[in-house]
Amino acid sequence: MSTPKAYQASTYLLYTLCILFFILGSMSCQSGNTLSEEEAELLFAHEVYPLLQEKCFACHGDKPNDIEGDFNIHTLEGALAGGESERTALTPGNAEQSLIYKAVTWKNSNFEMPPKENDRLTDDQVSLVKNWIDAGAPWPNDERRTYLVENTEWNYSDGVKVKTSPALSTTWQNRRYKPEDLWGFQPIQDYEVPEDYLTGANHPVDAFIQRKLVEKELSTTPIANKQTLIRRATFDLTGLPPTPEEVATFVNNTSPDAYEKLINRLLSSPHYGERWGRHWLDVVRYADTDGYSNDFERPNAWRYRDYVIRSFNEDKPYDQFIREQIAGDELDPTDPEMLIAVGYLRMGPWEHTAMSVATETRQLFLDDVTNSVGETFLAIPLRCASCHDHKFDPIPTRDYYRIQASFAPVQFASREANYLPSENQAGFESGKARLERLINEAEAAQRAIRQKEENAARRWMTQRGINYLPPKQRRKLPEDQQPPRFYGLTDQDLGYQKVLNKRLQLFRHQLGRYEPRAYSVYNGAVVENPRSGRPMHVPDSVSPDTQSTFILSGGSVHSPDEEVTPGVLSAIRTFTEEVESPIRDSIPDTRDGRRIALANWLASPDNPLTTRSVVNRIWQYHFGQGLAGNASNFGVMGKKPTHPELLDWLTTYFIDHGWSFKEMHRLIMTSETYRRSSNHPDTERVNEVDPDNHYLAYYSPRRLTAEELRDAMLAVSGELNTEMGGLPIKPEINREVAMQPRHIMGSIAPAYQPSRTPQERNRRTIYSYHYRGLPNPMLEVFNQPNSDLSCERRIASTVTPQVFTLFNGQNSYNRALAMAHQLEQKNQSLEDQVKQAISLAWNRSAAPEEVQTSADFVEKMVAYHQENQPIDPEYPAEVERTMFEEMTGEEFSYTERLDVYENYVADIAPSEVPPETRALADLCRVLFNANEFVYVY
Amino acid sequence: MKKFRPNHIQQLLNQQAATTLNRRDFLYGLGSSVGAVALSGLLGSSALAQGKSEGPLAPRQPMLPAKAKNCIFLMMEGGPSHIDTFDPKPKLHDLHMQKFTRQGENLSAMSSGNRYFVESPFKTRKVGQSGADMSEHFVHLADVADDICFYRGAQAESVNHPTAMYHINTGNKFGGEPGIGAWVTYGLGTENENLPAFIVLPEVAYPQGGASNWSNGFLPAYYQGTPLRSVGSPILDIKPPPGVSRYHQRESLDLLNTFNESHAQHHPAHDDLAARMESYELAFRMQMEVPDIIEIEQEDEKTKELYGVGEETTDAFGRKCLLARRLIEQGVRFVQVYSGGWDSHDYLARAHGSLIRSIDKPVAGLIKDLKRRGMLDETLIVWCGEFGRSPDNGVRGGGVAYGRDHNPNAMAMWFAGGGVKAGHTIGATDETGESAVDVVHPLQDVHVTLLRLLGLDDNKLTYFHGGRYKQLSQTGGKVIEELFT
Repeated sequence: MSTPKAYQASTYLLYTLCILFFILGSMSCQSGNTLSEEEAELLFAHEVYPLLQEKCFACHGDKPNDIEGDFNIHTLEGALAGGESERTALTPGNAEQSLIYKAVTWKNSNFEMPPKENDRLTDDQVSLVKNWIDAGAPWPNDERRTYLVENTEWNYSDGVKVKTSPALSTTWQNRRYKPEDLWGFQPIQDYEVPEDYLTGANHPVDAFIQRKLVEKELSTTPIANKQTLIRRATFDLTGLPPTPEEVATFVNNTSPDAYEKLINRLLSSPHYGERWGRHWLDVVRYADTDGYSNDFERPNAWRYRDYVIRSFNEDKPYDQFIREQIAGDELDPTDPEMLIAVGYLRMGPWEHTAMSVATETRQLFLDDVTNSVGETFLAIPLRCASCHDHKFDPIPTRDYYRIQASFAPVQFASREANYLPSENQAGFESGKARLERLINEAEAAQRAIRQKEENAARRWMTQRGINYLPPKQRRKLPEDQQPPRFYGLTDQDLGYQKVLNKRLQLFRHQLGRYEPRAYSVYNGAVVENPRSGRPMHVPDSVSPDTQSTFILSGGSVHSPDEEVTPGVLSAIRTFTEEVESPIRDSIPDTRDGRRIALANWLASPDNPLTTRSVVNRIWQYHFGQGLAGNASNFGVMGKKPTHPELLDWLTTYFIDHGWSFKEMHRLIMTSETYRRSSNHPDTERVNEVDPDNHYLAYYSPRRLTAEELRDAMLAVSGELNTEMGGLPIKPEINREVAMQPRHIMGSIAPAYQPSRTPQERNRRTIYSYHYRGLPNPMLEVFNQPNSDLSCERRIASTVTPQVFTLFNGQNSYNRALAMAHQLEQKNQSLEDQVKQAISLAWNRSAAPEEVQTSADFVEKMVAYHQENQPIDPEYPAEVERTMFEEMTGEEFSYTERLDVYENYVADIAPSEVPPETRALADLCRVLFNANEFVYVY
Repeated sequence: MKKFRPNHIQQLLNQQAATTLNRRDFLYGLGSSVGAVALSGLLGSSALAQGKSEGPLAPRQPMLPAKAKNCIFLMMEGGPSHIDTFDPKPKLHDLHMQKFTRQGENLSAMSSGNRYFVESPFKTRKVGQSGADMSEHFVHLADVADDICFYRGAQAESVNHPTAMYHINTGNKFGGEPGIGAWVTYGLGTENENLPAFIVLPEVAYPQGGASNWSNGFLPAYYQGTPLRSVGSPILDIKPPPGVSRYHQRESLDLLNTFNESHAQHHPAHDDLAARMESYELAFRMQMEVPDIIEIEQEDEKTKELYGVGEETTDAFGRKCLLARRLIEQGVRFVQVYSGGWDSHDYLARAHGSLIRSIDKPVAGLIKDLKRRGMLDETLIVWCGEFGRSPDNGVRGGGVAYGRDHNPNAMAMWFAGGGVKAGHTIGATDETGESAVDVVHPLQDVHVTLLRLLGLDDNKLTYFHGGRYKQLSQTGGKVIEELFT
């Protein structure tokens, strides 16, 4: 019997020690040591029968007319009789001979039961079945079984029960969990720093890490050199490379606090918020559009993006950050910042059109926000519990809907919110003027078509000797005296008219960008007919009604069952009520205040999920993987923490230090663990014992993220515009994708046109327009996540399309040429140019042979370029669109004028520079593609 | 038979766990050792035949015996009408222009106003020895009617295009999850790792919902559908900008290799470096070779004629069908071909008429061509839309311009090729075509069946994400046994 120490001391787990301790693991290895018949009967009643009920009955007996494989396991007779194979499925006394047992072991690939991966029995459950069969498979009748269940004490060696709100099924309610699986739900433990393991830096983090390394007999790696450290720390905290000057200053600063000063400088850089805000935007799925059919713009969503960046730069305490995003409007509706923050609730994809069913799109939002809150703040995705009690975690469906009830009053609105002094309003005037121009043009084109139709109508009437009347008046005429609908219009006109309607709708909607509004919510009654792509405002009089929340059978909005009141995760409550925690299930059922209460529960220092999850996320972003491997899933199925004590110790530190991100960075980054080199002296041993570097004997190198790649190229080429915030900008993207027609409801979306000037385009990637329906192909191929699912951690795959984009893409050519141009301005000799290029791109000084190789290459390429005229990129003035007119099925075409390109300020073109610059650019492009540029060590 | 579990799953779970370490997964996930794949590998799979590859896209034995190894999925976006293609409803002739009332949950804007039953503007006849029902506009498809298994029992759930598209394509109505092709390649790998395993031939305009319809979702990026573009560069940036010569590229690449090699010496334990270096060499070769594969002009005139290439009505879709065959022939596992514009709310006669004509010869050509090459048995062809159409209409355009609205309760769908019960019509809809009534199955069962036809077990083809083992059918489903031989 194993009961981990950590759990013995806790009083919150409702379990007692087992009386039949030999039933599990130990037992199954010791043949001959079978249970007595009495014990086996108890085992059946308490364990095996509920297991059969949960896993087998649905297909094998519940529906007498539809029994899979003709095998009914409701009764002993059925089990003995077997199914269509006509072999008995149960041989009492011999599990190995019993088909039932063989099936549940999943050892025969042709015969695995239950068939779904998710329903598969755990090893412990398999052992239970084995022990029961080996003991003779007693099958007491229903009466006796019920008697046994009600009148005997039964405890299960590894299992603990969790008290929750009432579940849909009693079997679920009584089920047990392995204590170690519930680690995330446990209160934070007070651990001492294992001082025996303190290392040279005397750093508490290192002591925890060192203890595990010693245990695993892994040696550590020395501290990385200073060039490596400044590059690592700068990318980590700002997402940008250090400048050659910054590198030189740091490397030459021999004072003992040089590194601490570096960290402090980086933490106070405004770029810190841009980097760490991006992590948060991954989790909450930020985008500038709605997704689905129309991918409508969210004209003010950028203010939320800037709010996040601001919050990180201000080092806003995380508990405050939570409260603002969950309940900003309830906290202070007069503060624009609060109305912006609560836009979090609407970050998921959402759309309602004339084709949608309103109750369904409403429920789509409610389900989305419920799951998102779980994933984002608690590291427990909740969606699984929407249809049935959670298969793995102690979350009954009731809890799911009780959490959902906190959002029942939430309605969408673009709320008036004055701009804060720090908000960037650049480009408002020119942007608005452009949209108005586009609207005027579309309206004029529309009038022309209407005029054409009217002229035809006039002709039609005149020809028939009917006195012409304008449209409204002629409605009164008998039908045969009215010209037919659309008379005189070609398919082309009909189709183009629809295109114009759609453009007008989009442009008018986009005008919302220039209004001081927040993408926000208010509490009110359900809006009967919401529409995406139209302004949604808070109604003048808000009805006091609040939508009721029901448990939805099977998760279907059309099958409401029992009504529920607002609540929280009851599993946590039961854990903490005995330790007099302020976290209680005290969400009011009034319309207002539900979310404040929920936010307070989420943001309580006693909420073990919230607090651990954010600390784990911070750790993950520093090291590439969290102490717990699934940053958004601390449930039974998530990976267990590798260093649970460290995680709890850090969590306590975090809370004690005012929920401060920056304090955590300081702490973690000053550890030796963070500063180690990535070259371990004993690769073989490390790969054998810890191939995934869970124990951090060395620093895991990482590939730059998509955004870092683009930003670093701009920084190194000297083009980066570090202006912060404001309306999203549009960098140049692959032209074919930009011009690719995108179907939106009834039309084709306007073409993607980049921002007009390099200044605007060359902003950091976090400020670029993020379409759900049109990902930037360069970023996408480097694993920028789509915005439909929350991204707990970026992946870094190596696939060939990355080569195409980075080596062949126009962006790389343009950045390289700009960089070469700058290098020439600042350096006379080729040697100096090459040296500076390497020091900019790789953040170290070039070795002599690298200078030589590079210079030779450039000279060779000069010769090539002298012989070969470059071809400059061309910029389109218009694009032809062809589509089917939905009403007639006929194809029609129209020309979309690309207004931005009309006075476009292009990047420097190859023909504008001499062969020497083009040759130097070839070198720069190679530097961008080099592994040394792409990886951080 | 190679055992699929647990090694395969374990391997994939490990990939999930790994960030950048210990992987040699360049190209579209090539797993053979560096340099093992010769240039000839682009058009064949010699290295793979030797069983060297263990990468995420390495070919894998099916979990269960199955005839079909590859799949061509013909996706009719917009919702083709079952009533006016393969499931005629003479009753509608009697009911024509009689009032109709819609009931049920899926009430939306389409339910408003006066509604009327409308008859099909097309004649139907029995074709093939099996006597399958086909609209008069299917002229060529009639030749291969006996190779097709028509299915009338499928039911979608959503009445709205993007959610219905996501549903049929990913199993999940709300998007963000892996496309069918991603699941299939996750399960079976691919025979040619030098090409994407899952290729999509979209319309020039992407469907509603865009690339999410062929996303890898939470599966690793190797399984993502790669759209091959019919105009411009087939794969994005596969070629450098205009004016950049092969010499220019080669010289740059050589310098890059010099830098990377020296760098790798300083980081001997960093496995990714070699993989990334090799990916550049393979990319360089691919940019020379891939355009060849998609160059259908290499096909003989008779073959092109078979698909209707060169004829105005059928050229566009014919080219895509022919390309689909070429790709399958090259070892691509899953090809999805889009035909758009089936959303005929009005002018059903004109719109559906011309759409049917645009796909008739190409689809028939595809079946004939695969058959004569002996590939039909190894290939599963699926034809369907995201939902069917209603027996009624609001008659917006007047008496002759009527169309049909969305109908999730009945739809048109057929299968051909390996393992399907060719020459049969399975299931039935009611007398007006409003709802499936016999052998009725939700889309999740269709998904399970499709996987099963390819030798995959939906319940075992799972990927751990977001706290549970996810599967194409979401929560499991039933194989539609009636569709199998």
